[in-house]
Amino acid sequence: MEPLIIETRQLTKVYGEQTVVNKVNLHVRKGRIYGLLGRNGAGKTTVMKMILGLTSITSGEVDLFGQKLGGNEKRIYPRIGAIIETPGFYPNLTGTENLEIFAKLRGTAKPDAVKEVLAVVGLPYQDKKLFSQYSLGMKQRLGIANAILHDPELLILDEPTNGLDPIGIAEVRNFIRNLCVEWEKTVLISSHILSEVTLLADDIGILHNGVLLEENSLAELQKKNSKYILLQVSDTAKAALVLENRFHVTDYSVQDLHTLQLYDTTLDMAEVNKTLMTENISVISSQRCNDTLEDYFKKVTGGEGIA
Amino acid sequence: MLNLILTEFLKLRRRKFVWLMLLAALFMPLISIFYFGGSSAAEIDPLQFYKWAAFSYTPWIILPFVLGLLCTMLAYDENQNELLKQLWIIPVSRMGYFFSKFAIVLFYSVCFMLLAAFGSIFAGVISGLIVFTAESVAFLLIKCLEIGFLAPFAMLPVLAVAVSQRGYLLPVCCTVVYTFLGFILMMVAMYAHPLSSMTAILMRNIPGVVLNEPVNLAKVFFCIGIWGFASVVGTNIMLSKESRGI
Repeated sequence: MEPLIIETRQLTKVYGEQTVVNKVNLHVRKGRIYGLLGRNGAGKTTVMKMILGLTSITSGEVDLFGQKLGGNEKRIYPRIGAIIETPGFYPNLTGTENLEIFAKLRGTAKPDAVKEVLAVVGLPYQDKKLFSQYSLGMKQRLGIANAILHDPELLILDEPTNGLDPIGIAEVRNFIRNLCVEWEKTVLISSHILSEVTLLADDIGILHNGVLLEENSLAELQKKNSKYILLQVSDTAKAALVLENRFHVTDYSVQDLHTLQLYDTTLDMAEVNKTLMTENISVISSQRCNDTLEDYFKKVTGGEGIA
Repeated sequence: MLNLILTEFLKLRRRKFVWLMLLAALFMPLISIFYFGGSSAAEIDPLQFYKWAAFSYTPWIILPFVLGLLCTMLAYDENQNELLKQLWIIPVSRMGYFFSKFAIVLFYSVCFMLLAAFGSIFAGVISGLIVFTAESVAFLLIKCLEIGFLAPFAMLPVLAVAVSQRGYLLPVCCTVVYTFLGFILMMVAMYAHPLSSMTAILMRNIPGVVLNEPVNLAKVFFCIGIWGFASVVGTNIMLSKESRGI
């Protein structure tokens, strides 16, 4: 198994009397894309800020590359590229000039690093447009360019596709995927858009009201999407008795007086319907169902769901 | 540190107001032409002219006010545009950040006073009010460099407020109050305020200037030093809190 690049233990943040992050245990493995999924205000940004040392930790611990950040900033920070909230730049400078400042401060070795990263995110090099005149999408692209300028091993991206048009979103998605596959970068990405995370992430953490409800690989989560037969009958008690006695069905659940869920999807439903009818049980409907990831997230977040 | 200072210069691109503020250095030389307008070169001692043109309201009020505005402008963008987060994770040290701003203020202050000096010479000589003497010009240049070098140290409290605040209102208000307080305290409690102390250093050996009491250099430097030290410590605490979201 790949080593952990980010590990948090019981990470907690309290503002006044409000606990915004509650005992979060996050595990981000090398070379994988970890999607932190949660609704607005779930605590995603706060978790990322705590990981980066940009906000104090009330209790708990964070390990980055197996080390504590405190006291190792000069060793750890150059290995990380990050966008937290809206990327900020100097409004009186162009995109190129802004990146040149950050390249100088970071001591970026490659002479044409700025030109290369601008090409990667699709922004023009030495353009005369000032940052203050940039659209939200262009600002976001410049933020991504700045995050990868020094070729970091770990990228922490807080909602990086905010403000991008659909084509831009797809481009950024492909680009992040390439970074992970071709350059073996580790990515921690946050989003409130389920489809975005499922298209990109290898591992998913579901954060809700500051609590990490679930952490698993996407493949494992998809396995949890249960398939079942939804059966609506006049009397569930009688129907259950028939199913147990005639069809030896034990894997089912009674939802209410008229609804049953059968988890054995190999059952011959024509035969089941016929038998129930002969036992004077009316079959109102029977259908095969398949929970989507969205249904699953609705379930784990208490029915509120994620966009 | 050199990189930080270089990038501070890069950040000033297209900041026309920063360079326009330098013109304030020529205000008192121009006023002096009108003030001494009725006199002839034979009547005015060059040092008397320079005292008006370069050593009066320029170091007392104009330079501190301009430096206060510069401090505010230097810190405003980073505070307002969420840039500090990006700087801390480079990582840029809090004190490196503070002292790089101070270096710009120091450089600007020296340029401002040199411009005031050359403005005074030109205003006096070209208008025919004074004669050009090497001795008086040398004195003027040395004094201007003295002011240009000391003023940023005296303005450290304002720089501290500017880098610790998100907006510009408080730093600008502080600049106004701080500057006028320095001016007012000059004759009553010159060792209490860094700007008063700076003025005391400036005035100690200008011919014709009489102070209430002889200048005690140790007290003067102690005053500037203690305020400067408190500003640096305060900034470090404030930036650490800010960077950790406390």
